[in-house]
Amino acid sequence: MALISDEVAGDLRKTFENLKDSVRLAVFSQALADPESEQVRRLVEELAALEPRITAETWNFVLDTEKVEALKIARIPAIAIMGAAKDYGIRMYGLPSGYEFGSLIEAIIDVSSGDSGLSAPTREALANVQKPVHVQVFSTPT
Amino acid sequence: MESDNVTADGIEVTGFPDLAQRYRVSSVPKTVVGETQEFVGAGPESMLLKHVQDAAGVVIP
Repeated sequence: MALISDEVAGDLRKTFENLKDSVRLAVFSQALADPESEQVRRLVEELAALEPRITAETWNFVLDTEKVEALKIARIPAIAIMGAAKDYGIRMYGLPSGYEFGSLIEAIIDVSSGDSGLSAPTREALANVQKPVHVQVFSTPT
Repeated sequence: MESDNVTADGIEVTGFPDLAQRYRVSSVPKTVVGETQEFVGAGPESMLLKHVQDAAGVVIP
């Protein structure tokens, strides 16, 4: 059975019509170590099937160590949401259900447009950040 | 997206009890910036920016 219902799939297809550039979703899972991670892989594959500009790459967290290091994946399940040409460093960990599913869709839209939606002063200030800063937002399923 | 130095993770914390413990996540959403800055709830953009700047050691005139 599909994780994304027909109704939601229809809404998403409409939403994705407005995408600008293509988006790569790299999923890291491992069936034996973490069965839940396979759900995330399925979810991302279903998303990619809705829209040709969204592509899914699936990687094994245990076997594909080069990719895990290159994308700095810390744990599974993980999704890296990347632009066609650029990785902005956006990652989602865990199963994006409920409100977090909305966050994943928003991340896809932002990455596709290359527009963070932040105000001009904030953009200017962020451009002056010279040291690596890691932001982690914790949530629970809603 | 506006800085190559800033990376962002969204973490569904029930699957990662080790992280919940490490970052003392008792109510959500909780945002941790760097290893030292944190706040609970949805803050305004300016507040998140301030935390990022503090974590990066940016001196604000």
